[in-house]
Amino acid sequence: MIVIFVTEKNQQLVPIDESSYNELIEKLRNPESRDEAFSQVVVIYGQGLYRHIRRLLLVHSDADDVLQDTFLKAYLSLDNFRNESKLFTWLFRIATNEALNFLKKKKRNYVLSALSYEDVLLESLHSDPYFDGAEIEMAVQKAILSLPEKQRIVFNLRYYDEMQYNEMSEILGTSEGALKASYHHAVKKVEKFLNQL
Amino acid sequence: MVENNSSSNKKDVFKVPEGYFDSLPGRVSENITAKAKNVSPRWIDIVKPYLYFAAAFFMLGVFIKIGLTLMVDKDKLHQSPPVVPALLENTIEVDELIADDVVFYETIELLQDGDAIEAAKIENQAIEDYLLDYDMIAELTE
Repeated sequence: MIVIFVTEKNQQLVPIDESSYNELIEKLRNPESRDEAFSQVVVIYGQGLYRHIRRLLLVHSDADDVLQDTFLKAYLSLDNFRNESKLFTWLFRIATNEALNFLKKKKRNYVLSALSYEDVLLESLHSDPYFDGAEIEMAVQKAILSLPEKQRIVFNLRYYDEMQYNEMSEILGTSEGALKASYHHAVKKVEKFLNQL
Repeated sequence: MVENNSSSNKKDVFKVPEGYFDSLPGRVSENITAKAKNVSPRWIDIVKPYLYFAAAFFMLGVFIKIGLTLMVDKDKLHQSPPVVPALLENTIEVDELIADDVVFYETIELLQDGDAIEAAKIENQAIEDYLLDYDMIAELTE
């Protein structure tokens, strides 16, 4: 059985069986059933992708825009999906690239500014109605935001999503050894940041 | 400290508007209909088939050119040795000067060597010897 993690509404990761997965892939390949199958994909993977993007971008409206772009790009690239990697890792790879491109564009606007984009994000988090965290959660987000982008992604995927290193390796195109080292450094930095408070 | 946290302790601090995930498939579908299905093809996608055709045509031309070159070279290999063109000029003069039954290489030698011209003159005695050898004198005198 292929274990394909699906994020349900209660945030539990539930595996779907191989036959259901294969059926979904077949439907996606058939132009007549593609749209219907893609709606299923959105239902199945939407929440997981949203959380992954939101943890990188922090702001709901930004995460929503990038999620829409992720699904749009995935839909347009369905013919290129060869089922060599799992649909789950393929979608996460697109989402990660879209989020990083979004961050890059945003950061360009703050090159000449005294404030960094991270500072602006933290400020907006204070007044964000969709951020439900006390001071300690805000401090954790600040600590995570201080990490380099790649370490942030690795930290989020490993710590919050508890993703396996082999899956992370497929998504990020980095060796498992490098990811383990990256996560180790990220944890140390977050701990150090929180201890200094 | 961070690593030891169980998943139950990892509070999801990021909230979404009410019904956000319920309406997500519908909004994604609308977005795809609005953008993906009306998206204008990129110029490279339009030009690509013509580029492939041009490249194929160019390669065909190259192959034909190479093939013709090889065929011409092959014909040259079957021709006379390279000295022939120079000698052909002399052949024209030889035809004007010497009898038709003189073989080509003898003619060349004749032209190149003055002594050879003398040597090539047929003695009357030699003609008589030749006729005797083939009993032709008797036939002539009868």
